[in-house]
Amino acid sequence: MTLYKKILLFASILAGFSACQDGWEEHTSLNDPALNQNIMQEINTNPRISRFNELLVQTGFDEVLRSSKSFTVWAPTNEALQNLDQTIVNSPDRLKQFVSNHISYQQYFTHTTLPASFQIKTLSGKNILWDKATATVDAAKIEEANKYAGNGVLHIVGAPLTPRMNSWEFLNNTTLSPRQKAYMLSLDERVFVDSLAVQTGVDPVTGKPVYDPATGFVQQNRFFQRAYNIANEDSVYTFIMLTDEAYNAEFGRFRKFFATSTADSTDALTNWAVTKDLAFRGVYTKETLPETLISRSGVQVHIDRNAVVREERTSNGIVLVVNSLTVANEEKIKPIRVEGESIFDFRVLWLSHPDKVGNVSVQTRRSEVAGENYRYLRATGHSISGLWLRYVIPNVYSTKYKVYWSVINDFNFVTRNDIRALEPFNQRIVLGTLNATVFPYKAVAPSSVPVRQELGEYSVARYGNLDAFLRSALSTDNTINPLTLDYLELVPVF
Amino acid sequence: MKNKFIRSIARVVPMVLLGLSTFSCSDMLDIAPETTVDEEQAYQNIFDADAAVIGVYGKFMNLAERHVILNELRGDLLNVTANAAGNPDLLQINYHTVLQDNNYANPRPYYEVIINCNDVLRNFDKMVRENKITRIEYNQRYSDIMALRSWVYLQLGIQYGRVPYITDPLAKVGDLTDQSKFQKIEFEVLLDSLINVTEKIPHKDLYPTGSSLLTNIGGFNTEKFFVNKRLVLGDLHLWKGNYTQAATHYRALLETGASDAAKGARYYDQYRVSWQNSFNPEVGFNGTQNAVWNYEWVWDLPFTANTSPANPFIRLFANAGGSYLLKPSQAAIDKWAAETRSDLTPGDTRGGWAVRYQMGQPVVGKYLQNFSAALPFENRGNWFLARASLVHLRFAEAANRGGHSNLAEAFLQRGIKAVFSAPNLPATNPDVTNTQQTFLPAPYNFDAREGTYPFFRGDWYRHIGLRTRAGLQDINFAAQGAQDPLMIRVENAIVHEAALELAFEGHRWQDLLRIARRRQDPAFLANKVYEKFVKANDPRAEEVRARLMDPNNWYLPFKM
Repeated sequence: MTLYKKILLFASILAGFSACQDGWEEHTSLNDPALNQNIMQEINTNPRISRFNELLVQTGFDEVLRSSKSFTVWAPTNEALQNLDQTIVNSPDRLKQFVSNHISYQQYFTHTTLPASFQIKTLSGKNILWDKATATVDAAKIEEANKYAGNGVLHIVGAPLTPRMNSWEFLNNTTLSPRQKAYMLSLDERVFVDSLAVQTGVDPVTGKPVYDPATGFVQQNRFFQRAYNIANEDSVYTFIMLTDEAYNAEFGRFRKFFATSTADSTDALTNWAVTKDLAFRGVYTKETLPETLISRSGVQVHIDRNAVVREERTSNGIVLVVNSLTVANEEKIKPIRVEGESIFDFRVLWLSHPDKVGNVSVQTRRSEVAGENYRYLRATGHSISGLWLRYVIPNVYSTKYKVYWSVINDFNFVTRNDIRALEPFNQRIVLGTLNATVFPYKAVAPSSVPVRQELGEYSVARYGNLDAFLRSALSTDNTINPLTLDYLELVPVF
Repeated sequence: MKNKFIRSIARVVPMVLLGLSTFSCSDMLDIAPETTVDEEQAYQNIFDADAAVIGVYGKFMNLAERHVILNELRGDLLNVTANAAGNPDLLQINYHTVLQDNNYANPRPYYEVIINCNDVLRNFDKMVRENKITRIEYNQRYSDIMALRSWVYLQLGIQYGRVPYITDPLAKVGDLTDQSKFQKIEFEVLLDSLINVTEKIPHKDLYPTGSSLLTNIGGFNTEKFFVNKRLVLGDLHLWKGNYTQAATHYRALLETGASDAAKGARYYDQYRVSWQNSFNPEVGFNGTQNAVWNYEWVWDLPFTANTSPANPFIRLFANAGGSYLLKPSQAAIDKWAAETRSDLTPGDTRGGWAVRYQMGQPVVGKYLQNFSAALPFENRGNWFLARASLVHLRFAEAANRGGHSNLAEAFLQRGIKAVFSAPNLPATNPDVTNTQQTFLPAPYNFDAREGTYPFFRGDWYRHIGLRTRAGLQDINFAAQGAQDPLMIRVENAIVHEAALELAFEGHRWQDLLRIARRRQDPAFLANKVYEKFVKANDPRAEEVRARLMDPNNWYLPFKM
């Protein structure tokens, strides 16, 4: 090895040592002193928010903010907290909720990429609205932004972010509509959910699991499930509260459609019929109310602006207190349509002669709407005089109806004197009991499309299930005793 | 003396040894391989000849994927899925913009089969000369391979238009890369040559019962493995426009069932589209070799999980368990939906089996009846090459062009008996002695009489047309105000019916091309394909239509 080569080797080893001290480490090291502090220390050092600092300590959130999660804190200035409601200050629970409404997990900087208006969930469980365009959060102006520390970011805001009640809490905490409130509270129920329960053992006799009796129960409200969950913070609703005067009027109008054997069940049905259409998706103020709102059950409700006596923004929408509401009869008491083929799958149970189940079929035909088909039910070749199919129509209101059927006879071909042609046949609809004779036999004329015909009027005395029988002609001649039904419809007459 | 003798021996021994060594050279140095058969020894007896036939068909099965892609994706019933976006070869085929290096357009696999056939044919000649197989055995096998070669050449002509016609057994596939050595000939000339050689084959029927080739391979009866020579001849004549000859061959195929009526069901039902034992698309494509399968399928080669080549169709068609590259076109789905059954129910049930839905997407159901994504290695399947419906429609096409549109209508929809019954025939106990027959010259002379007093059961009395078998309403050809002549309307209906009946089975492009060539009407073909893209909302619809209006663009570029 020549001397030259030795020198070169030595030089390159030296170069390696010197490189160790350089570069990346310095380049990537954290040398911002702000990041060595946690956000609580940041708050401590800022005299503008010393009052909020006290509240944090008082409610124990100072410990939370020292932890190693990441937070965003919207801290109100001392001036903003001067006029804080004493009821909040004096109630530990409410104070805790108040303070936690200023803190969220995750870091939100003013330059964080977010939609122009963004809901942020705070530690109180409620959402606050971050509006980047106006640099406000829940209408409070951001005065100093993006003061960051090791575990979060601090914004100083010019007003307190007082948590609002949600619509359900508002209903519970007011006496504006006592009757509606009483009914809706009565819809509360405790439900056992086994997946939430703690299993403590197995019953040696039955082999079934034994649960800790204190676990597994969930408080629910039927209104939340069947209409809208107005206690849900993550969606917005317009909720109508009726004054007793308005509620009684609506109740009185609809009670006659729910006649049953007991007053209690009639009241329960009527209460539900009135209440179910009082919650809507979206926020509508008195000014922005559209002509009609559509409830979960598809009922169009018109709310008169002049009847709105109070408007209350809640954390999940708006509550309108209304002293007069008239939902149209046609909206709540809708026509009832039963498709002929609806009983096909279990026709053996609803057929006068279960052995004739093979004679009942569902036919598919091309609809007049291009690309669509419809289906109808028919019974042919059964050789039974007076064969009937029973339809049980549920939830029939106690009122007067016009009864229609839609029938098609594109199948009853009869060959006479070597000429094959469609012939009419007779059938009838019997409502209530099988021997009722309100609607007589009616001819079903040949047709290639379904024909809707009025059968007459029919009054239902009691709310509930109504039996309808589709009955064939009293003949065993298969050319005159087929049955066909596209649908049966009961249209209420008011 | 003694010394002299020894000396003389000593002189001679080296000479003898030298001489011996020269003789033994051939044996000592030329060692035959122990594990492979030399070409000279490959054709020793009938079993070697059978192995050669089966070997050619094994090679032939490599064509399955391209056969279905070229004949269906270029037509109007099959379309690409979004998954095919990364597969330029398929997109080129679909949009008729095929470039020379397209894998599916490479004619080499066709010529590999042809060169194989040429070699086998030469060796069969040699075997029969050397009395290694009998003349009868030779006739059957030689005819089979010759017919298969003609079928492959017909496909080449359909896909490429002008192709080299090679019958020289010494040619190798590699030679074709130098195209100057082999002159390409026109499609019409190719058809003449093919008709010439194929008509001369000594044996035009199936392998007879007892033949050593009718055996069981991998659990499958080999009966339907082999090309039907009548089908090849019928197709060649149909393409050429020799309608009577085409109809003669097709009819011979349709009547292969059994030799006499005493054979019962097989006689009346095999290939005759009868009301008994009729084909059921629900199970007809799972390849189970039962009686109904036997009565319908003319040519059907199975793929199994254990043999090569592997089933190529699952990858192409399955959404659950495959790559889902190709799907039924909306135009095809609409065709079935637009039909009405004779009981007025909308929709053609055949569509329900041709198109199934996997994970909400339409898939080609015909190739997937044996496949379940839960058992991905059980990829059994079939290459469906020909069945009775196809021959029915081809016969109808020939009969229609041969001037017998009402007979074509009988095959298409109502059956011979219904179409040729006298209109005033009484409904009960009619005397059918002088009716229910076509009274036409051969090959159009059908007897479909069914009477009790006097008793008749004509050879074709069970025949029903294809639309009757499918339960569809009849097309009314007597409708007033029709613009086209009856022959054109019936031909249009045959092409339409072929879409409903034979979709995805590898016949569509051939049908469209044949009719467009015959009518010299590019719009016939271009509009059908155009409709596929319009119904798929494909912005390239107009572009494809314009391209197909030029007959030069109907054929693929030929490059080995």
